[in-house]
Amino acid sequence: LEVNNLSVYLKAKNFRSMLLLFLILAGQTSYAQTLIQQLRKGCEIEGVTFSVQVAAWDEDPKNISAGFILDCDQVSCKVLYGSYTNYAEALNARDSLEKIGHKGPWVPFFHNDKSVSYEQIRAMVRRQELQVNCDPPSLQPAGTQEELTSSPSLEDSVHTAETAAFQVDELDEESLVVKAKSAPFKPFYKLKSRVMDDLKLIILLGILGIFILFSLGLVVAMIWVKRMNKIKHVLKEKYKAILREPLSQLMFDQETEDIKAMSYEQIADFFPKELLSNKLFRQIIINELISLNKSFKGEFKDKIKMVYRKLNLHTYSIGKLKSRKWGVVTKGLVEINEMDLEEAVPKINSLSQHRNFYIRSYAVATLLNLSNDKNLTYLANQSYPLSRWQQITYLRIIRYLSKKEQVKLSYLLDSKNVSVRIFAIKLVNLLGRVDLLEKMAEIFPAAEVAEKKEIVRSFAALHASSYADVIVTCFAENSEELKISAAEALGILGDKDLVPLILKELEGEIGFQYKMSLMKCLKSIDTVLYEIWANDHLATPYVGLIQRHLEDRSLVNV
Amino acid sequence: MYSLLFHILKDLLGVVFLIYSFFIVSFYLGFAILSFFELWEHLTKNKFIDYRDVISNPLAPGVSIIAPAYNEGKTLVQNVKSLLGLHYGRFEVIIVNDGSKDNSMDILIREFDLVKTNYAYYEAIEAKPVRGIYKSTKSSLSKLIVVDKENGGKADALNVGINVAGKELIACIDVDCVLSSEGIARMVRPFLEETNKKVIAVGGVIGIANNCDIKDGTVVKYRVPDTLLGRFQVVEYFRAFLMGRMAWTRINGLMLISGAFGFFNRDLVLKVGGYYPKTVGEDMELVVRMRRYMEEQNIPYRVDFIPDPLCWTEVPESDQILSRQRNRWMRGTIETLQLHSKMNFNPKYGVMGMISFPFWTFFEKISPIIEMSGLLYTVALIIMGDFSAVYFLSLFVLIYFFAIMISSFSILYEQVGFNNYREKAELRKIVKTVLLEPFLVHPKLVWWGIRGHWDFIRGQGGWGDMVRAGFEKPADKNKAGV
Repeated sequence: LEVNNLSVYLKAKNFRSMLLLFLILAGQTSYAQTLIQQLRKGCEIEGVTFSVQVAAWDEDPKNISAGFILDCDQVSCKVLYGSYTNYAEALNARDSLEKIGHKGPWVPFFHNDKSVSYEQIRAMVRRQELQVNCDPPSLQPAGTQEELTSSPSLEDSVHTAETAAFQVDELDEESLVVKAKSAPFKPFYKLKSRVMDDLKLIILLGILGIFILFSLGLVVAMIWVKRMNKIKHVLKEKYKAILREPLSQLMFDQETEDIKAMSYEQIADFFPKELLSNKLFRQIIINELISLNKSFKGEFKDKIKMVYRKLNLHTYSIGKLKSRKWGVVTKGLVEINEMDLEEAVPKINSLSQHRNFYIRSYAVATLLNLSNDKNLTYLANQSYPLSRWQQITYLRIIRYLSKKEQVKLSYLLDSKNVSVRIFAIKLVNLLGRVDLLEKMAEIFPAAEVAEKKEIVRSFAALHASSYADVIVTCFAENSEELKISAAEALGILGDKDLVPLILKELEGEIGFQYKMSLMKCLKSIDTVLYEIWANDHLATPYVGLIQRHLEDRSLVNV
Repeated sequence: MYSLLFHILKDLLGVVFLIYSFFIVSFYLGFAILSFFELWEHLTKNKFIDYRDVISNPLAPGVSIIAPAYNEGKTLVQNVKSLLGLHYGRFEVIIVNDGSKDNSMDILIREFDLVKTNYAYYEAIEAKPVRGIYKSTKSSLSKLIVVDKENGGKADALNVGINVAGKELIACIDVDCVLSSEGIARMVRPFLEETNKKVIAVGGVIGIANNCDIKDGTVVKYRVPDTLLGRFQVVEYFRAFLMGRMAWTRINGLMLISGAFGFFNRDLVLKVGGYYPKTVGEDMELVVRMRRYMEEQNIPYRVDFIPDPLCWTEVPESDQILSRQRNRWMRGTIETLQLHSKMNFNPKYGVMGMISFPFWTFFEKISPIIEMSGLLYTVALIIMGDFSAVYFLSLFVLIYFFAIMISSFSILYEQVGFNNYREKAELRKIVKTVLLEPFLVHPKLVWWGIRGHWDFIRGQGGWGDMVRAGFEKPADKNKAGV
């Protein structure tokens, strides 16, 4: 019963069901105990006897101590002790045997000398095939204490424990304790057999072994990594120190034309030759050259790039594009971009729509830089949304490109990708492209809220006062954020014709931020009117508060 | 002689402990694996990302740094100067004086030439009354805003700061924290990178500054603290930040961003009503509430984490103060989990509802109780004579080595990723701490956790005082010959 229920319990999925199961178990247990309790109290059942089983064997054991009975059937031989009609006496005998060293003796049930289970007995009692007699005549059990005490000595019992035939001199508990104390200690179980016989323990020790090995392995790994880090760090510093002189010679002592005329061998002569084939050294040269490229300008940049090529480092950078690791590919893209390796452009094309964010981002950045495509088509055709991080990176490149030649932002404004269009609007503002104001005004009506917000900001930043009528349409939108942007923009553009509209907006039930923007806008367009309006509306929520804020000089930029 | 029921109860408890241990071991092994991938990815990104691009870029988001201060007069000026010196274009520093009883406000007014303004303070989030908002008369200090308010606790002070903040992102930090000059640029990256999901919050690692040399807002020389409790916290912070939070980030299940260093989307914080001032675990509660809001609105989102060492703080090294801190953390955890218990095992809340929340409930909240029960269970088994020394020793050694293994993982990650503790002697001290921690520190943590439960039941709370020694200057450290 318990085993079955426990297995169900183990399958139970949560605490509540476990609790429920536990309560059921408790209920079943108490029901099951009714008959057992009667038997323990001394009740007897006619035709039912009890014995104590101490062992069971597959074969017929040859040495059975006196007092024990061998009960063999086709399957096994059981070593039994005594036969009782009273269950309580059988339990006493079982406890006595347990005390003298028998492992797990238990009380089997017999009906008409046939072994039966407790459940079968209980079922028969339920069916009233058997009668429980709770007032039995005092019957003498077949196996008595005298028989038990006439068994061989305790020491012999202990020694022959594994054959399950134990013998004791006396059953008396105190004498047993005295005898036990006088006997030299000899463990019943040896650790080896205890461990090897217990599968659970073997599994546990196995896991323990793995954990110990893993823990020790990690500690060793820690020390190893520390050592490797240190070695690598020392090597890096050493290589950097080695590179300092040859690089400064090449940068400052050599002319651009001289470097251009040099062969690989001549350039390599500046460096320790044995190290040029070293992977780490090569990467350190690349890193150092890129770092110098970022710091220097003009002719020095040309020299750096020439040295880079002469040392065949560009092949390593381009080779990185073939890697399966996205980190390596991206590193390669960064190097190609910094060193202007235009021959890599065809290979990078396919990476501009890569599913990996970093590869895609740096591929587009590199293409913007190297492809000489003033239409920015790589960007305009981006199918993935453009992150703000990408926009920050591309802004730097596009600013650089637009210094040399005007880039065609109109393609970006026509892009199907909304994030690209938003970026284009920002670029119009940041690059001061007033030529595209009209185009932005055209796309404004169909634009999304985020686009409109950027267009309004761009109009304000470029002081496009002629587009104030476009901006005021934002007041009809639902987005308060857009309305705030519009109010801020109108404040900058300062179109007095719009005052009635602003006043109308101020009369409505509006939030604090929007009210503040409108009041600020009104103040910058018409200070006199603003003061009159504010003084007339001091009782209106926030007006006094905002008025004091706007008049405070220390808060001009807040 | 035990009744059958008692036997079942005993066996049932044994099985419960076994299942509990199995799950906790599985979770931690999972953390080790997930955090490895996350850290590896982060370190790969760091190889080619140039953070200088974002510092002065007009497209970078504005950041309001909010630092509540309560009786921090001793170190406040130094800390504010450090914050004002951060390398980032668009940011403001909002110091909220939470009704300090010392002369913090006078010091600030004097040192930074502050004047009271007519700032239009709008209480978008309800908080204690504001006495005044100050700005400096010096244009070089235009990024500084100081708010003086009535005392209402850290969460209340942060809410006032959020009300005042005017930038897109808010960075909630402890005023005594030391921030790396690159800190903002690195922390805003996840907000800018994500395109498919809205990044609602980004957490950062808190480094331990005790015994370290700090120069220009960065730790220049790492040393482990002198005390065992201090060293233990170094290891614990490695485990928590480099392993735990990195693993949660990997599966987008991060539920806690340290109150000492966290970046949030301001609009969303306002939408969910800011920090909840009635809990001592306000940092965790806010993140859980933000996540809950996003899940209920069905908006794809992420909570991110940056493992770079960008922020350092002084940790308590005495039993008394550390016990108060852990007691508070436990109460904060219980309060948060109770406030949002609806999410527990609720598939509607995704990873958080089905993994993060149950983990916190079963392995963070009740773990001290389970551990103590396990101890009592063992004693009961000894008394009953059902105790197996072989099993006990095997399990004990197993758990001990498992603890070492998990700590070793996190130290290894630190070594591979950042290698801040460069000296061999420092590593030796850390390893020694790992070996001793289960015996000398962990029992205390269990006890403090149980005290946290008890204080929560009794309704006793509060923050307790954090006594800070203040960071030593490198020169002072050198003089001391440390």
